[in-house]
Amino acid sequence: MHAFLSTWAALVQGIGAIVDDALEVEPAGGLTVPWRARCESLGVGLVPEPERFADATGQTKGPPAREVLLLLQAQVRAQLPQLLAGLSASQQTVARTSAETLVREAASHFEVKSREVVKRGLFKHAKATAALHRSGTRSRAETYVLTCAGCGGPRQTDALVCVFCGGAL
Amino acid sequence: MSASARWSAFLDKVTSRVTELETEARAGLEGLVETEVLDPVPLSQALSELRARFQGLTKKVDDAWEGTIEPLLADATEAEWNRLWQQGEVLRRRIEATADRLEVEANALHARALHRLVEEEATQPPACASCGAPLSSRVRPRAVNVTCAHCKSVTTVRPGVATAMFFGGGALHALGLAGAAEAFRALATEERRFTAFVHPTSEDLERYREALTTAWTAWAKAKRPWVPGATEAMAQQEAAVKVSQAITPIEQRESARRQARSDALRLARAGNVAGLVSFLRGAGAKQGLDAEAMLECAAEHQGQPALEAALKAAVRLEVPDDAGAWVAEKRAEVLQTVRRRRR
Repeated sequence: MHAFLSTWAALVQGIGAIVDDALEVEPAGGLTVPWRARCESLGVGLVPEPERFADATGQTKGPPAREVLLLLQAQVRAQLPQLLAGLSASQQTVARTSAETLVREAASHFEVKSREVVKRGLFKHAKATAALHRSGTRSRAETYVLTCAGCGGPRQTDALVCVFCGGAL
Repeated sequence: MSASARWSAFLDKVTSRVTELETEARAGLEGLVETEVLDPVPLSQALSELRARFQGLTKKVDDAWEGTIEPLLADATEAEWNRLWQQGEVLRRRIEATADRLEVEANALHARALHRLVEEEATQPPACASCGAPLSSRVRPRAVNVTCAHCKSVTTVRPGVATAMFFGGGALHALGLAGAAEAFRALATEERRFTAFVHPTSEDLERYREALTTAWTAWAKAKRPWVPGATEAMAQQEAAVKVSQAITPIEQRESARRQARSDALRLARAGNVAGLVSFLRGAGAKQGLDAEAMLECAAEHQGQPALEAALKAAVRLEVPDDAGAWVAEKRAEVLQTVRRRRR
């Protein structure tokens, strides 16, 4: 049972990672390096251009939904033997149904998310500039005393004349 | 779907986007001021971005009107056209007012945060640069010379960054604007009304001056508590300078012509057609106020009796063959011209 649970956890993680990678693809119908690598590693053929853009009509991001579904199914197929190993026939049936449900739910989640309007966050650049604290976070008054260039004496009166040596300050 | 329904649905969508943007921006601006106070650049960047977003929404409204709705109204009545145009105008004004309000609020928020730092700076006594003895601690808005009680050296005390920014930058202005927000909204309305006139009168200018005086007096009053040692008289003088800066250039242009329009309009409102004809032939003519301009002036000031008197005067001055038809045609033409100009 322990082996089944750890394989099931790995499958859930793998499915989640596929959906995450798919939602990183922009523009809709586009391709990213990780997505291409995933498809190649599981032997899923990419929908060719320009068909993939037409397929993704209505989406705001992500590859065509059918490509995502194929990849999800391929992921399950790849892990299924390991998942079913050591299970009884009735347990295998339950495991198969659960894996199908997982794929269905993941595909439907992708479909919803891939159609959400992309909202650009406000003030990203301003927030980054603010975080730099270029002017520091605290300040205080500064003081200085004019000193005579000749004798080094400090200014003692409003007049800009040194009271010690008579030189100009 | 009719043009009216499409337009309403579109405007509802943009309105909800304005509300969303306002909520998001308010929270964002507050967070920004909490993060950084001494550097004015982030807030300035954020406000520019916000302006651009709101302008984008205004552009959407303009584009939808010009590209989609107006072409569908080719056969609509002028009243229907006006009604739909007015709906768009209400939203345009709302977008503009929201952007202005957020900017005023954010600048005032920043000014208050800056003032907290000013108070902190004032509690840290500066030290004499010659002997190190502490000097008195207080708010010093500008650089001042202080004689050290111990070594008698004349120490120049320069305000800290927050104090210099608060008193030397736009913080006081921002606090004044926030405190007088209502009066400035009224001023904006009055300014739109005044600048919409092609034939303004002396009374129109006087009304605009009153709105300016109310707004700038409220501004000076709101910022006064933030300035150490500021008096009521100083605030009044500051307000008077602001009003004068705004009104003097306008006052100096066409003052005699404005007065001529006022005099003519007074005669027209009293129904004194003979007096108006004589005025337009004499003093009015000297100021370039002819029958046509008088008609427009009366129509702009939306007084039906004045317009009717002006039409009668125009009949006498222009002597058309068929006075009845001429008056009806002229009345419609002038009212339409004035209505279209207001758009």
